[in-house]
Amino acid sequence: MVMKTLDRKLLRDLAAMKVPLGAIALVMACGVAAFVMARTALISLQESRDRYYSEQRFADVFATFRRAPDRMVRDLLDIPGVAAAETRVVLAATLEVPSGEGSCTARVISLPGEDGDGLNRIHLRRGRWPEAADEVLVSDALAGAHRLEPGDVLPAVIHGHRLALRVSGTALSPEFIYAIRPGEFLPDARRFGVLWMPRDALAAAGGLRGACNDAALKLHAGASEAAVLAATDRILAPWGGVGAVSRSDQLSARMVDHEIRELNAMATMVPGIFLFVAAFLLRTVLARLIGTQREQMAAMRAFGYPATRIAWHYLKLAIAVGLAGAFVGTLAGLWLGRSLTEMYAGFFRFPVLRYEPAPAVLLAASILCPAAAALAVWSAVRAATVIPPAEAMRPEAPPRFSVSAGERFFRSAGPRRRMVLRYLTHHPWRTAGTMLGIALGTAVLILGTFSSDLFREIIDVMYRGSRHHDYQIVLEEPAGPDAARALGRLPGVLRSETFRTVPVRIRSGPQSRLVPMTAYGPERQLVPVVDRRLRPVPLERGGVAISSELARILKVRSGDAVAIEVLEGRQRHVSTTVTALIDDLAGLQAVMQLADLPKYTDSGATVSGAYVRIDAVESESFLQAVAAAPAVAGVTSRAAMIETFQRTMAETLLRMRFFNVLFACIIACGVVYNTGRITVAEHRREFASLRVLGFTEAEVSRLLFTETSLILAIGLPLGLVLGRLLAGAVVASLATETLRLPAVVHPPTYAFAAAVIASAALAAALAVRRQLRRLDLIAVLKARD
Amino acid sequence: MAGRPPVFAVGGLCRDYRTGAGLVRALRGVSLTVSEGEFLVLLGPSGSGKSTLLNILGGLDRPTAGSLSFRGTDLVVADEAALTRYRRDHVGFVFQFYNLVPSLTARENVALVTEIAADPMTPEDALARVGLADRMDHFPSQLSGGEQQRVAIARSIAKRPDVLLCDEPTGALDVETGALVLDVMQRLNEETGTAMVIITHNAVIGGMADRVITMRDGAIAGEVRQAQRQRAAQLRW
Repeated sequence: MVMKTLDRKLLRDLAAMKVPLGAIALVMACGVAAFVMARTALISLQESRDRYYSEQRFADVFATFRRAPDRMVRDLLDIPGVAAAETRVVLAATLEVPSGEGSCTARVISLPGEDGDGLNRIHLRRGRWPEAADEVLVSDALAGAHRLEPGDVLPAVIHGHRLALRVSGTALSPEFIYAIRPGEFLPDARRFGVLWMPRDALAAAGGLRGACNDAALKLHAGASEAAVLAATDRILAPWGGVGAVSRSDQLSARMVDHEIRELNAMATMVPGIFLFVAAFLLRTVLARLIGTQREQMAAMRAFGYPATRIAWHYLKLAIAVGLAGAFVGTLAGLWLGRSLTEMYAGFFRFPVLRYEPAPAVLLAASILCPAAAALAVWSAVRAATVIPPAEAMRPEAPPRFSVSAGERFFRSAGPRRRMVLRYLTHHPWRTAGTMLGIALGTAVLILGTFSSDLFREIIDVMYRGSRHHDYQIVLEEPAGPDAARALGRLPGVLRSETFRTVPVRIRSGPQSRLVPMTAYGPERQLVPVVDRRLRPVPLERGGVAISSELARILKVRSGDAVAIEVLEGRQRHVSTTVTALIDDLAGLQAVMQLADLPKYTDSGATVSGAYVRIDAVESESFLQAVAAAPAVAGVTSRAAMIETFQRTMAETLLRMRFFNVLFACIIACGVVYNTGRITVAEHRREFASLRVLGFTEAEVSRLLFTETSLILAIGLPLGLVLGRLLAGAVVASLATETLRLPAVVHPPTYAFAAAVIASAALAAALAVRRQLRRLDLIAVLKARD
Repeated sequence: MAGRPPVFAVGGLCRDYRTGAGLVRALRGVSLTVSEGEFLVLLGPSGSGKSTLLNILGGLDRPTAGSLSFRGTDLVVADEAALTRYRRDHVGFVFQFYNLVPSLTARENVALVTEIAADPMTPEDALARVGLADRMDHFPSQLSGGEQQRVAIARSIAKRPDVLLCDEPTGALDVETGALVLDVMQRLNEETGTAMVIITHNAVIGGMADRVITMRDGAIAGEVRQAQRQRAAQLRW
């Protein structure tokens, strides 16, 4: 088919404007890339998760208790709505593997028996299933971190028994897609892992023959989760139940859900910003093109082309830009999505985390972009085609300028500055859009980089400002005063502060939550009770201090009464007063004085462990002594936690940082380049006049840089504020009961964003300056505009 | 005018342009001298080379061959920066389409130039000389064509240039207004002694010149010296 002449014009217009239109297509491509990356990774993650959960029959309800006879499972099965139930033995172990500072602990879980319902099925990765009593499966990540191979011996201490376990293979479980120790946020395979071993052997080691201490339930579709949770708690109460949790509160599942929510937020907000900026730029550039082609359009109308044909012609131009953006963005998004999914595979342990880009996402991207482009230019195209041909044939009326209202502030400005000021105020919408574009670019950059501030804040508040210990020692069982004293006498210990944790359900009216309630002694130097600003929170006798978030959930205020249901020993119900609220960052905590402990338990003056500060030169003998102590469940090093945090931060954030910077630069360059180019095009006559009048090239380009500087002077601060607001919104949308991220953006992040955007803007202005050089002075001045 | 020192000394000036259609020889060996304070009119049809000559005199273009000096300074070997300097310090331009900055008022358009000049008049003085003392704070869009051209002239003379180069200064104006603009130029020439080179199609304008040079096909076709100059106000076309 022969190409229509009008389409040939379209192609030539596109070719003539390839740089500005290409810049716009790139801004669009960034949005599409973010959209495709986040959506495809999200869907891949979601589908891998759902497939994994259903194939391995991941349970719906999880319950831990002290000890119950195996037959108790029948009571669980009788709960209406329960389809399957399985009991297990779950114990803590300390693994004797080199793990740097602190001990490597593991959860040891009994393998399901032949007759079990097969919940939380384990996926064998390497090796074979355990056959002998001392054989174990090791979680894949742990094996990887310690180079454990099938056949290796793994010395471990379980319940005070030192066992020489043998690795029969490595495995994965839907329960530990994200394997973290309770109370932590990041997985560290060097210090935490999971073992599975034959039930009889594990029960024997834990003194739980014929008994169990953990259960998992699968529900019928449509069963009431709340009712099942309540019934489970009732059944398990006599067996020392510490409260059942649903799948959404299961530690690993919750972290996976959290990531999916984060991706979801990213898949909407970031593409929205980029598309908005691209649409604005496209409208500006096309309106200018249409302005210069008024006479051509009028001539075509005079030849008898209908207005709709001409409108369609310009719409096609916009759609072509949209399609180019969609194409490039989709390719980039697929590549980014794949690398993001690969990065996830390092955190989230699935048997297969396959990157499967959903066709619907690609289709959406390829429709969304051209549609947004067409919509953006629609009003400009329409306005141009409704002008009668005779009128369009005449050149556009000269622009009318006036002294702008704000100008009295610039009285001292010379004529050249005034020129720039009046260009900007003459097109208020375009100027506002340009400034907003810069602001959004800055905001996107802050949004992409402030997560390192978040991490730093978490480290500073949770591990530095509020913690001054070197190691935390946790005992297997609460122990008496002798044990407490023994902890203080370990080699190298300079100071020791004991604590006691009691599992409780805290209740106010119908609202309740399971929390560990911690009791501290009167001396709290190593672990002061402080809020997120590190202000000390008073701990009064006879009451509890609770997290503000917990108070919000329970709908109580300081001074209100709450009911405490102790989930150990004789399970007392105690009424007490909330004496203070702790505005903290993570978890739900309830804190009290150690002296109040007898109100809650009969166990007397027992401790769950201690925070210690040690003499650094004796750390080796300290760690050896702790490892040898039979009653110790684990020891964690504060320095090691900080190190893990920082390592993870470096690995994940730096990778994303590159793309954030790239995307933000594209936005800033696109905005400044296109506005600058239009400034030059619209004012080329004046710029040429100035050159003829004897202004040097540098003096004329200074006009352009003044314009860019003014745009930056307003756009950048606006962007910093906007970035802070968006960061706050993102943080708020991601806040959970577990982690209430602080909305902090540190000065270096602002400075970095401002520096990157300003450099990108100046680079774009330099590119526009080349156009000034190419001005043909004589031709411009001779031509009638 | 003979006896006064020359402002421009032009010898064998050629200017070739390479276009898609081949070589265009815009100037084919033009030689002339312009004296200090001289009022020179260049007449000629379109394509005769008069604009090319004016642009080269003004440092906007360079000759392909030949010699050109301004008060003894060789402009042929001058680089871009030196030409800019030359335009800034010595030359005033007036164009057919005024080329004012629409976003600046009349006063500010003139101030644009006085800011960078070594010994300028005040913008007010320059505008008063062209009869626009009461229109100084108007924007170009609020001025008539003749007024705009007078602002352009004020802008050109405000820096006290040594030569004023005008390319069809009355081309876009009606007779009345054109005569008014020419009157302003004539008075300026007489009062300040600024040499003026004016390009026009309009032979009538030649009446007010010290000398009229006619160009054809890139060369000088005729030259007439006039002992008696007509007053611009008397010109009618």
